[in-house]
Amino acid sequence: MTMTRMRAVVPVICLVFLITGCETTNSGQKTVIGGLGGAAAGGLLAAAVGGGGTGIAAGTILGGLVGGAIGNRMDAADRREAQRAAMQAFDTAPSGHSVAWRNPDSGNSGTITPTRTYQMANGQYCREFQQTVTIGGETQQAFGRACRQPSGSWQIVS
Amino acid sequence: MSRCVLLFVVAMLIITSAVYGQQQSPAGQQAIWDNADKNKDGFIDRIEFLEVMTDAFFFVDADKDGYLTLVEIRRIVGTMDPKQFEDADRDKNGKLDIYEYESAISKDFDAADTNGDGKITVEEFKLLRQGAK
Repeated sequence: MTMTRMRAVVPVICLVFLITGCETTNSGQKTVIGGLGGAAAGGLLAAAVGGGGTGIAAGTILGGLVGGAIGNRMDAADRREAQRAAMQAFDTAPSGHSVAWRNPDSGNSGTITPTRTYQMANGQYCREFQQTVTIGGETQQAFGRACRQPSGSWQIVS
Repeated sequence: MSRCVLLFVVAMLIITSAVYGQQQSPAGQQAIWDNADKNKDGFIDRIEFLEVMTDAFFFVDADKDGYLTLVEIRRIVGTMDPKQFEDADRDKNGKLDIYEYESAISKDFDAADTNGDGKITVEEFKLLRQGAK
């Protein structure tokens, strides 16, 4: 191939390549007005999975996480570990993803799993969660709702 | 000289393919899909889509003021057309509340649902994700 012909062919190759790339990106997508756009929506879908790095660390959790008989059998260290896991879960775990805690001294353990995120009318974020606590081989499950306070702490509201 | 040009073109193709491959990491795509397809029926319906996008709203709202700004969205998704943000910002206060956001996201769902059956298939999901960084 002569140099002249190469000069003519290379831009054509590049142009075809660019056009093909554009077609792949946009094929099948309907035009949308008022949406955030496919790129943003796709990126937001990913953010819902990897939310851990996008939040701001909150303060301490107000209120008890575990009540009843099994709650009474948790020692102070268990409660501290459970609260730490809950804070991490509420701040960074996508719904359906669990954060586990374990107290190596007592052998007790548990999980906190946010199940749904929503906003109250005043803009306050709340997260419903499922919790398991295993003490002496016995596991109990509970459900609750935590709401984020203006201070950044989470309060268990039910 | 012509060999140099050919090598350059081939190198560009290889680099572009590598970048494209990284963007479409099968593991990442699968994790995103699994997170959204809550009932594991092989589709993402509108409710599942809005639920997972509400999670995203919470995570993207870095200052936790209950609103998303263009800066907060761009921090997560990279680039975003300001015109699209302005269109979604119906009260023109420079930020999206959850209602404006869900309205816009719902339209994105309609756009992604190319066959209009009310569900996003794996293929439609791939097309949607191709637009993401």
